[in-house]
Amino acid sequence: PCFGFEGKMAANSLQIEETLKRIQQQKGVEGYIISDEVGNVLRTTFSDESEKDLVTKLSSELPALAERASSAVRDLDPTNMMRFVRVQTRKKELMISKDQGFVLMVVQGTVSPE
Amino acid sequence: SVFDICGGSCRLLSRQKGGQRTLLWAEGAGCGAMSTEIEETVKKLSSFKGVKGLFVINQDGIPIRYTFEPELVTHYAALVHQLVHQSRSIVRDLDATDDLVTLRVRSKNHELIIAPEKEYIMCVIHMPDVTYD
Repeated sequence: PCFGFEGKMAANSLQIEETLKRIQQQKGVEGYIISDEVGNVLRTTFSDESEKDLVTKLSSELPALAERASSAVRDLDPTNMMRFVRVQTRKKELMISKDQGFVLMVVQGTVSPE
Repeated sequence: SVFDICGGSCRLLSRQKGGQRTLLWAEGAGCGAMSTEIEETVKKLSSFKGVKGLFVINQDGIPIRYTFEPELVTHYAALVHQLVHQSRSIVRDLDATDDLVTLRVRSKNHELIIAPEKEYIMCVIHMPDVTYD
């Protein structure tokens, strides 16, 4: 299936599929969204009509948060680089990772209290 | 939580100004026993292997307790304050009944563990032993 990844990623598409499958199968994972830097959704597991609002909200707000965290890290130390951001709420955990112009957002239900 | 200890039962430790209550324990005022407990918590956290530093900021983003150089803390504080503000509003926007518990920013060199409370935000700079790629 064509999912719009850039040519440089195409060679690893099998690896990507396996990684995404592994993420989706992790305990508690409700789904993920892959978008570009501005939040245009490229791919998501939230396909239900009822989840459309959630996807729109997440894809419009989380990339901006990841960008802010990323620039904060660089601001503090130009040699450092952000890997991911984890937002832990009472009910959920949102994991956001940014790389090569793509943003991966994973939604996980609360697993265990810390 | 560290801050619940000083939740307002001890007047010596807080100042009421307008509608805002400000905790003054950073100045070493008031109840010695309470300050000790906070100091102990800070000391205990700082003693963990891999904790590069930690700081606490108030609602305005001012650092009120810290374990490394003030100039660097101020820099961290400003950025962390903005991040918490943005994350919190995203969480509330997604679900008005939910709230931000922890924010973690994992970077190549370290991890910032940010814990906002009612009136304060604590941030720990953690250097994990294992490096991922």
